[in-house]
Amino acid sequence: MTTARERDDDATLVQRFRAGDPAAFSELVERYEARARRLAYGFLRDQQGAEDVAQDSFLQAYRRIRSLKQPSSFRSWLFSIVVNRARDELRHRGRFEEVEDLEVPLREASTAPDELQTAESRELRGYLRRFIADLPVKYREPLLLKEVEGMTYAEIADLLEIPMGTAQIRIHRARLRLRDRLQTLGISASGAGAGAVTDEGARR
Amino acid sequence: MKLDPTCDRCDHRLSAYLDGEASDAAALDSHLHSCPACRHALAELEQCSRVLAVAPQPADPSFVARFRQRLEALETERAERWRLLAIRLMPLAAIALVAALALTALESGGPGGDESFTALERTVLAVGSPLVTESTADEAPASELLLAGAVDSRSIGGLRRADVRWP
Repeated sequence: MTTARERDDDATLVQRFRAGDPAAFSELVERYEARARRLAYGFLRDQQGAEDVAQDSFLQAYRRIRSLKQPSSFRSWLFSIVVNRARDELRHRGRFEEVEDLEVPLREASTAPDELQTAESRELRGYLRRFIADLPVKYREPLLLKEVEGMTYAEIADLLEIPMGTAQIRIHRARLRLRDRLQTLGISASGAGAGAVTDEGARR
Repeated sequence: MKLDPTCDRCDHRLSAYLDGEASDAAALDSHLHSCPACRHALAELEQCSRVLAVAPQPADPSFVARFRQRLEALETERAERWRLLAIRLMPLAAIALVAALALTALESGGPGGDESFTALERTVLAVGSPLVTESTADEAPASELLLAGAVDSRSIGGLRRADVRWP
């Protein structure tokens, strides 16, 4: 969530940049680069891709900053650019790009809940990338803004220009779809330890 | 296990509850206490959230440096594109300038220019933009005739405003 202080600072920086101070934009990049990379990573599950998307997004923001109507909304405006850019990248890569990853046997995947929680296992990352790419855009974007960026429903609704109730329902439906896909891998909240990847799941 | 089909009290409100945004959190709390199916559904949603969670990325000071480099490279590239475009347009600009100067010289040197034409209109005629109509038989556009030296400014002066139709 953005604090009023952050928004004020963003607005000041945007206005300074518009007035001809290039250092102000560098400050905005410093402030948001980690979060932009993290959000992009949520979509792509790939560090290099996330770096590229974040870089492109800042370049686009740099060029179009004069079109930003409310300087205090810089953060959500930037994130909407990241989301659009990540969407393009996913489309560009195609849905079946990670076939090789999916062929890695899950037997080798760590079953440690901590690792699953941060999605650090290479195998799970491959599956997640696929599952995320397979989600319809209207479900994927609100879900990732919630799970990765921790935005409120109101912020997500504002950013995606949809009603708040719609954002809430889409996030829920996205989770249900993802739950079903995870269950095909044997990852579920039931059984011997939530988050465990079973051999049975790996064979499906 | 799926949501208990006999229990339809939670549905998408479970996600709102998980996200700390349920407007009726207290009521859901008490329902969850007594409904194992909804508790299980909530646990499944939590599992999805855990799997999707992305650890915070550490700040990367070199990111800004890389951004500046890309920006500089793009600015240089853009400046170069403008320079090449200017070089390509230079001959056209020179022709237009010469034509404008020629017109001006003819106008000041010769008597009888038609005052109904402004200097701007003459310049535009010289670069050939407007179409000339209703002129005398088999006339070429005035600008071409003028540039080719086939007519002098007095002939041009014979054209009326009505002779010029803007495309």
